[in-house]
Amino acid sequence: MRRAVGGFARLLEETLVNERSAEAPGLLQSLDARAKALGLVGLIVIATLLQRPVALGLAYVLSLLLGFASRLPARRLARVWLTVPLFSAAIIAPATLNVITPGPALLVLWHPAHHHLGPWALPPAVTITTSGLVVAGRFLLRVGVCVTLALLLAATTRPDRLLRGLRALGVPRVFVLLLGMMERYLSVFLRSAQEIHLARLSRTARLGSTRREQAWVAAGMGSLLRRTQALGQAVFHAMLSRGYTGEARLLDPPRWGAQEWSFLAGVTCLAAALVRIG
Amino acid sequence: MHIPDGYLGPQTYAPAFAVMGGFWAIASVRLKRALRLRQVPLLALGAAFSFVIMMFNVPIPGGTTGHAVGAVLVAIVLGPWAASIAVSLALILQALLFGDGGITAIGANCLNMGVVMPFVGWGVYRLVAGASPAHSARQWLGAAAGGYVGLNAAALSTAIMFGLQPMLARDAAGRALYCPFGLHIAVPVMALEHLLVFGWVEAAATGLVVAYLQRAAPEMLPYAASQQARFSRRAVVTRLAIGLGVLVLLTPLGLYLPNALRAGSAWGEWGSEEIREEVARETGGQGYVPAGLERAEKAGWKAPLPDYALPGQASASLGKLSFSYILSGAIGVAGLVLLTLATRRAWARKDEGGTAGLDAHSGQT
Repeated sequence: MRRAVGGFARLLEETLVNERSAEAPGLLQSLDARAKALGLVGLIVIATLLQRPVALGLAYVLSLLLGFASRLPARRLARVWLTVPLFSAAIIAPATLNVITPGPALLVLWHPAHHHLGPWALPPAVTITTSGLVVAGRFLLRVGVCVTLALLLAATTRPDRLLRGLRALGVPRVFVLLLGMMERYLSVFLRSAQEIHLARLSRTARLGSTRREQAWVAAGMGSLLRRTQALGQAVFHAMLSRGYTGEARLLDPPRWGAQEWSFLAGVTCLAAALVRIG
Repeated sequence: MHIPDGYLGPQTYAPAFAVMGGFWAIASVRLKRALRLRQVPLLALGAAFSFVIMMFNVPIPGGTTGHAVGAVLVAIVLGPWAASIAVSLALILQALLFGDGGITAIGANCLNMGVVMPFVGWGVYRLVAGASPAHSARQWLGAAAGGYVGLNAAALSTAIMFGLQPMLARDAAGRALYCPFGLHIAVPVMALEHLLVFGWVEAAATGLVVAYLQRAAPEMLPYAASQQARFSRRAVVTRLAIGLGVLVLLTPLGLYLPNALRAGSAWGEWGSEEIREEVARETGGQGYVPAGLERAEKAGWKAPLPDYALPGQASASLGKLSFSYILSGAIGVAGLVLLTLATRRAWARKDEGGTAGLDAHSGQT
């Protein structure tokens, strides 16, 4: 229960931290959200196309430089750069073995006594292979680049502007409207869920049986679901009272200036260079 | 189950986006027609709910906890199309603002958790719950079964996406470019953890929330009632019959695809001759058929249509075998329909007199 309360608090804090860093001065913060979404999502797509570790390494350095130019707090960057690649490293570790990636042996780990592990056949010696290291290294670099670029997008753009910026990526107006509303009410629901947990936590002397705890969690979810429906009705009536007719309208953001065009030109040149390296 | 960026290659994530684009278009047209203006706040708030519900810790035996996805629950309350949009929106926001799931993998994640899960789970729920009254045990049992099956279907589709990567994308030296684990590893690993652990978390969460709604707010479980009002029984049966007919006509794909891909029999479904060949290949010798297996094959049950082929057609051409396949499919479907009708009749007798209150709850979605 404490963990869930902590989780809700962390997410609420993260939205606030994102808003604060989006308002701070910096390279990416000064750009229009549409240009930024187009440029950074474009770079993420390019990163998924690159094959050579050198190109991916360069893309990693580039994303770090963008982070520094946008003056993001180092602690926040480090948290993402450390936790996500560590998690991915744990997943990718078995791929370094010849069982998954055959290739020249680098280090012999184990001579299995049996040649089968369940339905899987084992080689006479389980080794770490050079090919395996290439596969794992490339995978981690790619994940690192993508995660960093996604963080840059989220941490340097106010959520409402980011969602409106999705129009530049061809997302239909009604989806942008829905995402905007969802983002606005997300903090209300997070707060509600946190209160449900805190109310219970403050009345708990010791935990009951698993079944009882499960029933309590289900009641919490169910009551949140009821609030969703009630709030949905209330919001709908409020929208009607303001003259909503079913047409999604959004404020037109300002035109792009020289800064946005030069950012996109720069990103295009870098992407072309990265693709050329491979 | 949130796939991050870099795990899937463009050969997978681009088609997933294309499929989801079509799906979102159909879903929004359907919802516009069905819910009109009310859809906007309800969907947006339903999406926020889907987001928050993924953060509830559900206790499981052994003192640990797990998270539920909640897509089947949302489908039971809002309908599968609305759930599909709500869960998709939640996944998009998670990827964009909180880095949970990749931006390039949004299409794939929405396909697994926003389409496969709510539709499969909702289908199972409807199958079990049928037209039972809101207080019936079949409601929460159906919800739990829907949660379990829906989550496992989504896990399977995720595992297939992972497992296809080493086949689809390799560098010049033949090394995997994205997720390097093939189907033979990705599918058993994902299936095992979801069948044994996470599926039960989802089942408990979905079933218990529906049980709570049955007690506290039965008007929120109106789907069976409103659907019955909208579609006549005849229309449902016609649609089902057309769907089954199409599937039966597609059964020969099971002959053509292995032929085109040069695949052998399904793993573990070998006949005695194939076992001899497999053993010979593994051990390098002559190969043999285990004595018990040989005995069982001789003395065991002789199927009327072995390998779905008509008598005397075991080694006929693919065209003739296709006809046998379709015929076998039709016979199988007819048998299952009869069996289901008999079971349904038995259930209906048990539940008799309990369906009167259903229509009172219609129109809530």
